Amino acid sequence: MRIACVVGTYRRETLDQLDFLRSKEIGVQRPRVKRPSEFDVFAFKLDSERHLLTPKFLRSLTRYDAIIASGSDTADFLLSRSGFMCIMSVPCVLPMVGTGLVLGGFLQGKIVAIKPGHLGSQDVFLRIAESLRRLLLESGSRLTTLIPKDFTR
Amino acid sequence: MTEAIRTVGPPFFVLADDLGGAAATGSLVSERLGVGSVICADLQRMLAGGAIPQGNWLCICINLGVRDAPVGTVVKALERARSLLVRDRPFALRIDGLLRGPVEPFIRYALRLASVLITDTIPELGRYTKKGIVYMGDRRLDLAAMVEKLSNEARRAGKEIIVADSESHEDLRRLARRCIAERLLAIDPGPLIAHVVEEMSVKWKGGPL
Repeated sequence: MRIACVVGTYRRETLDQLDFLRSKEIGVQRPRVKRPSEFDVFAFKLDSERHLLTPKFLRSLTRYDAIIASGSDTADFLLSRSGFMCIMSVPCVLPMVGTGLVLGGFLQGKIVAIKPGHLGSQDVFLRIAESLRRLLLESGSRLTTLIPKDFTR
Repeated sequence: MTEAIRTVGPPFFVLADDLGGAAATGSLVSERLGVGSVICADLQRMLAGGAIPQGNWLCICINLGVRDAPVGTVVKALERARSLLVRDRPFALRIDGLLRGPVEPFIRYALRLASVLITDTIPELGRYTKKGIVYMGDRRLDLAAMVEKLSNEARRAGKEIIVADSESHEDLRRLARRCIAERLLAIDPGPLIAHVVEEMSVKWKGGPL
């Protein structure tokens, strides 16, 4: 199960969370097109480096099963460029982490979790990833059956 | 008495200042109403698309995209969302839990329509509201002071701003019932709104009102 974590917030809390990932030897990389692994973390500054989210990079996110977006603006930016129509909500994977199935656009059917930039303890990204894996294992196929006909290809 | 919250059928609308807030509220409502009943959409996309996405939605959370926008833009977005999408359906306003963004413009707009009940409690995060103060770990936010300056405006318009104490989901459920009974417009970071939608959905299941 492959999860991409796209972090565009550079708040102190988020930087601590990224440092925690590094301490666990999880690579934090700049947005780039790559062969997906189980958990890829891409970090950048949305304010000044949004050009790094190229169309190719955004398309490469289709190769993941779920996407974590850190920061509402980051989520808004990447979903808007995917051409999404809306998100079909599912219960939060962690408190106040908005979660749902993307409807419309090239990320259709992907689970997205939107973490507010300030929210969470140091290990929050790992905990979200773990909850997403559980959600995909337990309900992934059932969720896709709930996609309205208008959105099915 | 106002017509801002009416016990008419679904969908219930939630107007949020950003996508994260709309999505979080959508997930909270989905916990209570079930998966497949709630969507989170973007105001500009919905207006550009000309319609609400097809589906039997009980709740639609709309991202107005106005977190850092000037007041005029905020009001315009609220007016467009209400006149073109919400119309006479029930709705609530979602604000940021740290009270960032257009909290005051949201309350001012709400007061045009109804008295409001506002609280800032997220039980799962240990955040609660007591005597107008929001407690979150070592941090304190003075919600009562923030709305105090709007109270005179409210009174002149014959409305009221209620900053309600709450700490638990039981408290929020009680407040949700009060919002419906007294037709108060609910404003919070999501948990209260989820209870309001759940309480209203019980009425919907009972048939047309």
